[in-house]
Amino acid sequence: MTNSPYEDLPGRAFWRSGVAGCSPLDLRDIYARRWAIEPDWQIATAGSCFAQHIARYMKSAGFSVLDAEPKPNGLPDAAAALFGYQIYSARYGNIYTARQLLQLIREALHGERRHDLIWEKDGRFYDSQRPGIEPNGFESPAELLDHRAHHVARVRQMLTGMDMLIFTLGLTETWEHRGSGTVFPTAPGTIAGTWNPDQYQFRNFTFAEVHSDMSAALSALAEARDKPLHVLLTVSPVPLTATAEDHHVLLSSTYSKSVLRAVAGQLRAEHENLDYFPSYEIVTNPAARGVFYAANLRSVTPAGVDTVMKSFFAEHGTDLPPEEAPQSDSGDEGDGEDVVCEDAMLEAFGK
Amino acid sequence: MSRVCIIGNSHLGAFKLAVDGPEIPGISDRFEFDTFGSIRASILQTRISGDRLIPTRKDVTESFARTSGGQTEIRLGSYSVFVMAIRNSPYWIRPYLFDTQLGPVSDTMVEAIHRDFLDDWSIELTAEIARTVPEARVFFVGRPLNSQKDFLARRLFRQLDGDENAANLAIKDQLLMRLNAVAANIPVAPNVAMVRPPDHVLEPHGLFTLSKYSRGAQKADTGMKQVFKDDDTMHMNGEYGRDMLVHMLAGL
Repeated sequence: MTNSPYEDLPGRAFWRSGVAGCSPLDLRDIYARRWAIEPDWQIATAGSCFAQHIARYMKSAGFSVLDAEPKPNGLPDAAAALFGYQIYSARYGNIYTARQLLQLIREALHGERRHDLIWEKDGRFYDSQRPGIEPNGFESPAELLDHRAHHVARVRQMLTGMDMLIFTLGLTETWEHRGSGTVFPTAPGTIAGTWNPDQYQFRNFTFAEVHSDMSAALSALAEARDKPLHVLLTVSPVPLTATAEDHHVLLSSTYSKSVLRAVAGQLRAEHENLDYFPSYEIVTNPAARGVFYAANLRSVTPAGVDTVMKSFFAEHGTDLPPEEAPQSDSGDEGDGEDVVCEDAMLEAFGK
Repeated sequence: MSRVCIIGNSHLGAFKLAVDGPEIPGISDRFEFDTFGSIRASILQTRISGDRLIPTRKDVTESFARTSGGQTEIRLGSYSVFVMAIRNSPYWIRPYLFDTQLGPVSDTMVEAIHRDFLDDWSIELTAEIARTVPEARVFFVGRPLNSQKDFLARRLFRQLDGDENAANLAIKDQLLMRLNAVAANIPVAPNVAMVRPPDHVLEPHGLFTLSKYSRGAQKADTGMKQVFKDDDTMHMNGEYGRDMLVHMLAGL
């Protein structure tokens, strides 16, 4: 008989041995996979900006990351990201909220029509659900709808064909169309559209709402598919660029990440086919003393992303791909802004 | 008589067959032709000195001599018209497809793909020649659009023909309109024009060359020795060369 229930616990259970006494570059036992990724699994990626890193590393490491909506043959690789190609498994841009993910799934699988889809700016037309995927917008509303139909068909293929979905939860704050409840990845007026408080309202989702949206998304996927789906959730460690709440951005950021982290944990407890990977914890680890953040204290540095992915790959039987491994002699950690991130545009509105 | 210089790689064959063949009404009595060929991208092994394009490698010198009837360099200043039959045509649809499928491509995306085409060495060489002889007209033809028997053509026709393919036809029509628009405003040099093959040379969708033009094609890079019946979908015959020359030169 032991003297305390803590007595036989492993080192990872104690702050001193699990965090304070460990190198933040090599946190042992922080992630234990729930299931192995089979070599033939088709993996789809989606989520907030941080998910772009995961997608890129997974591809480089040789995992079969789906590209359900490939670019035209002649579009140079260097220009592909400008048009939203090769960032995720389809051309949906960043999906910041659980509600946004649910909307896309329902549109692709149930044919649900989106309201307020077309935003205008300077005579050009933007898809409000992915305003960043055409740098100059579309020539006409009709053309936008053609592109959307093509996109949604590809998303449907992806959702029914994938074996695994990696989704990075990013935000709880969003802007909602009052009449329809449609939410958007950017506030109206940021890239296109017009900010009108009679038409749009601010929403900051609660735990219950995020959990409900994610649960509905998982149910919709399960109903539409005829094979098992494995889901890996992560929470973006990138803090909010700005908050529309009437208080300090640090409070909003903490609220948002706390809710998302809690939902991820709850979903993991409820679904055996769902796992949580702690990228959030690895980057925000106090032992790292902020070293994984770039000078703006938001973007995650290449070293931070490397550390995250090293933990992930270690559990899945591989190593960092050579082209992604840190350059020890460069001394340049970069600014971490090698991702396409609409919410960073809110910086421009700051005082 | 105006002198015309035709520069090409294997696709020079169609033009050489045309100018070496029977008289071309309305053309042969007004123009004299010289042809210079060099395989694939080997014509890059040249330099411009004064108004001369001079090979810097022996095989290119030999190829020039073989395809021109003995000339080993090009006196650019002695021609009033140039025809560039090298590399891709700006009207070739493959770069705008999704693998082998038609799909919506925005105007901005068409421009981005076209900008990549303009970065090609063949355009740089064309611009260099055009700048050296600014009073000359330079026609950039590129290689012919593949024949309608090409695998890609057969894949695309399945998407375009039939009652249920109206949406794909609309996509194709819009794409062609945009290709024509970007090619017409091409910023290579003021005296350079991109040449789209005339409609009668193309199948009804306007994407591929009629297969009758590939029958009896000859590749310039095999010393004009290899003759194709109708199974070469990329190289064209003398009739194609003749029709293209009439298309470009009749109005001059």
